[in-house]
Amino acid sequence: MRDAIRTEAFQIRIASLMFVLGLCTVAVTQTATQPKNSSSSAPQAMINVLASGGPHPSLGEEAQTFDRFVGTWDGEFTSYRKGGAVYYRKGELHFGWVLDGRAVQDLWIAYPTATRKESEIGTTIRFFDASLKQWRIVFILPEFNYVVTLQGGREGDRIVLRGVDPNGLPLRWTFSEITHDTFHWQGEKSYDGGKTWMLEEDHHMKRRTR
Amino acid sequence: MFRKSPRAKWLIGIAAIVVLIMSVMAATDAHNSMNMDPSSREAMISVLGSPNPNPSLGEEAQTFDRLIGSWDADFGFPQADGTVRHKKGELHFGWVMDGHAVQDLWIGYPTGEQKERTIGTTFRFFDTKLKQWRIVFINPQYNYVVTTQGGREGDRIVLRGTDSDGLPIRWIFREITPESFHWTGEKSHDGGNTWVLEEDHHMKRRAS
Repeated sequence: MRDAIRTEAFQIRIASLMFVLGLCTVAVTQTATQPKNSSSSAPQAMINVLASGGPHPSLGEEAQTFDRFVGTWDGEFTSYRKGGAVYYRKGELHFGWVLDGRAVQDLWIAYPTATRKESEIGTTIRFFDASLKQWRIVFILPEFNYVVTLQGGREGDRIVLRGVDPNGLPLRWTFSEITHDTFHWQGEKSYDGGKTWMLEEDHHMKRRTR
Repeated sequence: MFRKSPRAKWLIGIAAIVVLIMSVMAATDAHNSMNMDPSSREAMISVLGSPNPNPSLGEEAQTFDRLIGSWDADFGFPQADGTVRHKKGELHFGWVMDGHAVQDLWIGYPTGEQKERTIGTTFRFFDTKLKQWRIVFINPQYNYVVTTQGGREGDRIVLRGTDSDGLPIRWIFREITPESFHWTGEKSHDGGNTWVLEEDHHMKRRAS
């Protein structure tokens, strides 16, 4: 009987010890890997300060134009080039609010292929220009020395953005068929001053869930 | 002394396995929240940052790598009457996009007239064709987008461009040390013959 009580006490002690050890492990791992609370002078400080949880209240209803894209998407990219060449690639997109919720920044990542060893990564900053009453877009793709600006906004159930590419040719980027879990993105270029448009980029996105 | 019953040994075994599973779960959880929570609204931020410049940049990475980190800023705005209006703020520089670009934040703290802080961001990448750094600065509050380009000139970094009003601008990083630097923003109203100092900022690296 005494033995049984002792064993029980021992078991409780061991179990408590294990529980405390477990808690410690959880605490240590979480502290060690929490970037948000890292020292503000660390190289990651920019990233931590950049992010915002949601749109700035001053954007009002206009925030919805891009808020619905916030999150992660898997992309099926199809590119058409003059002469009939077609390229398929897979990739992913990430959209998030930044700069105190005054802008949406996104990442367009194309995975490596047989001919391209590195993944390609471009970023877009999107903010609502309060004087133009339009969204202004800057897209930057360092690997192609590429910077392009567009502007526009919602047109019916689409988002249409217009601009000029680095060679002076008119560009039109359209988000269409926007649902909670999917959207279609097309990039067109005009070689005749906007009379006809050639579809160059035809991408389908699916929201990533887990 | 008591002896361990087979039941106690069995219980210790179970407890050990539970601890192991908990540790793995904790580690996985922390890893996911840091690197990639695909369904979260913060995924973009987790994917954006890079610890280092891309190796393809070579020595050119040093142009802006030395600015990586956080800086306390004393922003000075020289006025027409010879006085200088001061504002405090902070800067943060970090590598992004697989180390192909540096993104920074320029934050001005709220003042008497301005209740909210101002926040602008710059993208900086090395254009391998132009052999120059290309810069895009965006400040949504002022509906402001401007591009400049340039690079190291002696011990300075000089960036030139055209302001949104069409006038030439010149941005210079000077007196660069590991702990401090001086940044000036000038504008020319006569096609580049003379320059007016509009922004005169002093930064000190923030101690950890």
